[in-house]
Amino acid sequence: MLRFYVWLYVAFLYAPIAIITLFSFHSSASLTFPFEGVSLRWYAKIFSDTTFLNSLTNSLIVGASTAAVTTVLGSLTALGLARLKGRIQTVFGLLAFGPVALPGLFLGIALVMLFSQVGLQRSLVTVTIAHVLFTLPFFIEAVRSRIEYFDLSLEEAARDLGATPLQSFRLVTLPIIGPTIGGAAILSFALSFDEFIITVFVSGNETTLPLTIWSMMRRAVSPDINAASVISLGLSIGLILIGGLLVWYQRRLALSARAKDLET
Amino acid sequence: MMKISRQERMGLGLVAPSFFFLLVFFIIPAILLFVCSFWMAQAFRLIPAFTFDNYARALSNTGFYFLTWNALKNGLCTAVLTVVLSFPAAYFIVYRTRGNLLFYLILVSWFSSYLVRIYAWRVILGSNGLINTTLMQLGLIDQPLEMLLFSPFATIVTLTHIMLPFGLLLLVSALRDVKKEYVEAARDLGASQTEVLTRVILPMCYKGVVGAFMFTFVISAGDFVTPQLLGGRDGMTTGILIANQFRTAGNWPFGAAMAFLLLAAFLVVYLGFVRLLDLLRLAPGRRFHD
Amino acid sequence: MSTPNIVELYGVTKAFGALTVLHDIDLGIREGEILTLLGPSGCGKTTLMRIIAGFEATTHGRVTIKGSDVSYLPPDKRPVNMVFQRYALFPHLDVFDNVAFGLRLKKWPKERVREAVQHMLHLVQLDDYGSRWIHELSGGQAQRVALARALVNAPSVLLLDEPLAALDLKIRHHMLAELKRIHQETGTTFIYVTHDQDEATILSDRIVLMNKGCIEQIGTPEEMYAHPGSLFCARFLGETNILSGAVSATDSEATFVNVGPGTAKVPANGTAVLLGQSVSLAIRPEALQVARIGAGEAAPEGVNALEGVVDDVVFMGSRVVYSIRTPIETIKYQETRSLDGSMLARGERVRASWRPEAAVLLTR
Ligand SMILES: Nc1ncnc2c1ncn2[C@@H]1O[C@H](COP(=O)(O)OP(=O)(O)OP(=O)(O)O)[C@@H](O)[C@H]1O
Ligand SMILES: [Mg+2]
Repeated sequence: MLRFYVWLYVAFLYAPIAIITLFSFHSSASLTFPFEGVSLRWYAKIFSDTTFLNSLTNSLIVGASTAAVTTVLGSLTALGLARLKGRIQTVFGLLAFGPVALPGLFLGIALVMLFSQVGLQRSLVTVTIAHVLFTLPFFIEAVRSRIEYFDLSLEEAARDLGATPLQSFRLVTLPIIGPTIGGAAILSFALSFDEFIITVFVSGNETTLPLTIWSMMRRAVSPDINAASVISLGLSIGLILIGGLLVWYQRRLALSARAKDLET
Repeated sequence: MMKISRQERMGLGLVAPSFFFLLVFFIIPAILLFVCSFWMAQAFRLIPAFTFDNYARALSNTGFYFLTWNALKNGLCTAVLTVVLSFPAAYFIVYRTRGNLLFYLILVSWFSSYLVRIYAWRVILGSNGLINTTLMQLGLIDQPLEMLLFSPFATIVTLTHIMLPFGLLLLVSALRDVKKEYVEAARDLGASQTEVLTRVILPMCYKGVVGAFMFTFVISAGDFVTPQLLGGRDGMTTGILIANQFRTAGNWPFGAAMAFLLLAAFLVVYLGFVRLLDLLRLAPGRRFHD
Repeated sequence: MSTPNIVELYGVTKAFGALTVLHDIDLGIREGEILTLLGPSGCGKTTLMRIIAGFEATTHGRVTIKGSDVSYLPPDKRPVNMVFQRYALFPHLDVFDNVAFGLRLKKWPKERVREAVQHMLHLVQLDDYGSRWIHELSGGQAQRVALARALVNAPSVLLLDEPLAALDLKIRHHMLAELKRIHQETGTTFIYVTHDQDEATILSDRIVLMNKGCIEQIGTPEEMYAHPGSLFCARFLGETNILSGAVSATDSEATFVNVGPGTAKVPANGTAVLLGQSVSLAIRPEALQVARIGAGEAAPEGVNALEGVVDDVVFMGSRVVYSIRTPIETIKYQETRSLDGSMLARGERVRASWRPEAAVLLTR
């Protein structure tokens, strides 16, 4: 009974995506059944569209920059939070979570206000700033749970054995939390790649992929949106899958290494 | 004098960059926005002032109440649906499955882009959309059902679809803290499955339920894209109005004031929800004896 | 058919997939007794208890409580209550509400709930703790609350799964005494799971010794100690010396076994043995008599005796335990420490002997 319900739930989640994917290969412009034949014409069309290609490039650039900045800021924060105690930790933890506790609309208009008051031109830079703000809380939450599980005394032991702080970080901390950080970086990339609500306020002339899809949607329902959507979906889901597999594989390596340690 | 250990000093040093970033790009903009809500706009230019006109203008307009009601309605319906629909699935994942495959399968769909999902629902619900054409081909209706698309219904279905995976994630992590032992102890003491749910599981994962509900509520009530694309004329919300101030019409102070009014409404909903759970005896930390 | 047993298991078998963890268990639990399920880790004690409580279904077999078949009843419908190993006290409720949990489900009126809960808290000596939160309790206190929460429902049988495992040694001994007192005051039947033989012998009216999903032996602690039915039982309960050998003669009075250079005589106890069959003798360390053999003195050959050299001397408070190396086994000998200091020293040659009744003949 419950099992059946859960599969229904999953089906509900995936059905719209499946339908879009299906029609992106439709040979006719119709978006209804019966299905008339398979073709790649909509993909050909979208790949000859320079606006689309530009925005795709922009999204990849923004995603990579966001992931890089978020990873540095987020990892430092997560490591720092593990060393803090009591009220400071609680307060900063809440502050770091703040940006996702508010609707994206609010962040968007607050940022656009700031940028206009300090005279910062809207560009891919402002978009990246906004995306870092949005992805940082997710990154910190994802890494924190892993770091709390990690024992600070391991690092102290390394210091005790004569390692400098940087060495002990590189030799002890990084190998343990590395996979999690990698996974969280990919998460940041995927979140940035799909971000639309804040971007719509802080972007300038250069558009990102969601903005392009948005303007295509406002124009007309044309099947090349399907193709654009599937490309966008494929990229973010594919990335998440790769990230997940990486983290999983690393954990398994670590686990089997530990099992071997126990045996000897 | 507070003593700060070396560990803590290092911790403060490590969080400093993020703190600075959040200060500049989160706290200051939020304060600026608040200050700006008391300014005036003339001919698209901001004029610093201290006036309550923007708030008064919003609050004296019946349209504002209507749009805010729409926003809250979208948020409440979506949040209730998300929590109610996700809870059984989360329960199943935590108590009835061993591996995490199903959980990951659901989480992955979180990353199917927001806009694409809105678009997909437009394709499905539209008057030439999948549901209507299929129903007509089957001969069940002869006119397309217009109310499917461009209605609060379409908005809520889509927002729920968007929020389900994340709501599930929050519920699953909350339920994971309710160890099987507690469920068994309650059963052993004579609780039926429903009683286990209401007297043990729900109070114990209270934070997760409140978190999932509020997160979903805030995001969907504040959303302006879905109602704009799918909500139709009657589905207009405060979010759309605010967004328009900043994108087209250009009265920023008015938009800022409405944003803070909307936040205040969210706060009221939060307090109401917490109170409701308390009344339903679903909140933890309560004594039932004197 | 009425029965003196409050719980009965008929041919209970339990398999998890391909792994069968309980094999055809028949067991009757008498009203008012403390029955201990004792056995090594993984032998199926918890599983058996969870079957009685209703958390696991049997693969084959039936369970009856008070004469009625409960095999298909869910846990909330069975008149048994359980104390969980890590207590499973509800963290969102305080002590009073935890104890009141079961009664409120039964829709008892408020006044009666309060009386019953206060009575129970008094019984476990936590009168003033009703308003404490669970995280404010010590391990021993949490244990008492768990007991009170189960007992307040007046179960026909109280199930306890290693309830003392999480406590440290000192509190554990105190809690054992408390459990005994509470058992006496309430008269409830206890089924108690442990892998600790001391706990089992201190507490139980009867012990069910389990091994690999089967019942090895059932009996009072004294019976089990004095008459182990198998090698496993002899080894599991208390320290014991095992001597193996072949049967050299047997008659209606006694059986003779070759142990090393000598012969052991064991009174016949109904165990059928064949000539030449290899058997074991179990002799408790305190049942030996040990005497010095003077230098140059020839060791007297004989029945029920072994000659050896003292290998090790260990003081255990009021007792002394010696290890004696004999030609066949190193055996243990235990005596109360004598005050005159006439103790054996390492390296001394000794002769260990025992009365025929002190040895138990084991064929498995
Ligand atoms: N749900 C289950 N699924 C599969 N195997 C199980 C399950 N529960 C128990 N087992 C197996 O059944 C066997 C008996 O387990 P049980 O918990 O009854 O042992 P136990 O005697 O209580 O041990 P311990 O003293 O360690 O608590 C073990 O081999 C265990 O691995
Ligand atoms: Mg066990």
